[in-house]
Amino acid sequence: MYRIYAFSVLLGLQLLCGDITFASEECVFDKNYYSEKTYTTNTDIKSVVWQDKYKVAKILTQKGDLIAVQHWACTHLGLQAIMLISNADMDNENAARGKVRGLVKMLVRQADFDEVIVALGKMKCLQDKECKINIPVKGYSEFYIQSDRQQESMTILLKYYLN
Amino acid sequence: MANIQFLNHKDSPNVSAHSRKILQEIMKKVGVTKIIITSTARTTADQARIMYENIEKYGADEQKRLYGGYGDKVIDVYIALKEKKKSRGEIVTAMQNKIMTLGPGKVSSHVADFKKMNVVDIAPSSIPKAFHTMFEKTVESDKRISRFFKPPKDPAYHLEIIQ
Repeated sequence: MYRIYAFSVLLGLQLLCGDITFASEECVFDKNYYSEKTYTTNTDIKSVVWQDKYKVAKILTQKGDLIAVQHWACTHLGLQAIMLISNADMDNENAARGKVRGLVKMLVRQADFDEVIVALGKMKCLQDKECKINIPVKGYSEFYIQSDRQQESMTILLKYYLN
Repeated sequence: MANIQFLNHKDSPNVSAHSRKILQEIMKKVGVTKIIITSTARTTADQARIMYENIEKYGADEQKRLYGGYGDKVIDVYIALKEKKKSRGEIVTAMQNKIMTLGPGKVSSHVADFKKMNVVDIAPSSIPKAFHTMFEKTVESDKRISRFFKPPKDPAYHLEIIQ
């Protein structure tokens, strides 16, 4: 069931993706800021499928977690990542928190990491059905982590962007 | 009741009564009761200050990787004046002048003269998913909106409203 749910979430993300190619001269931000290389050098990642047309990465971590990441790099710059946490980890708060920390370590810019970890420490609702914290890192339009518990799995959404 | 909220309260003065009226008319037409504005327009002085602070935090190399060609030219001003040991005020002023020379819209789609143009980013998550398509169609058909970006191309609903 978990695998079916995981597949459906990843497929759902794919269906949300339209063609997001841009004429580079129109872009405020470098449209190549995010690329396959963003992930191929990360030793926490076992495999990655990069779809350049959609700026989407589908990641399998060394610990077996599935993560789908939508990137933006033109008018705005940032990303939205969805990670699935299995029922084996979702009911163990320390394990679930460790998974979120791993997601943050993988996807948050190095200079922001400490601030995000401090905010994550204040995320007390991780065992609730829904939980969201806005992270007050200066300079971003939005920066938040949100969790959503289903019957047999849990999704963690990390979103941030600047303009 | 069409309720316009701001993620950052300090952004509230950057949205005129004219723009609020347009947004509320769109909300009523769609049936949306609340939106959250995550970002508004900023001045060239604000843009220069933000870019200065980001270079100090993330480093010039990272910022050059992040911005397109026009933003890079503003970062070059920072690098040149920093080497000459100029003060923060002098550097920010020079960066602001460079932004004005290049054309503010080329460095950020959020730099605008509030009296001529209002820019707002609206969090898609603040609008129920069932209303997204109707909201998008309504904005797209509204002649008072001069430019509109939407997900998945962008992380937020980005509206530019002529004053």
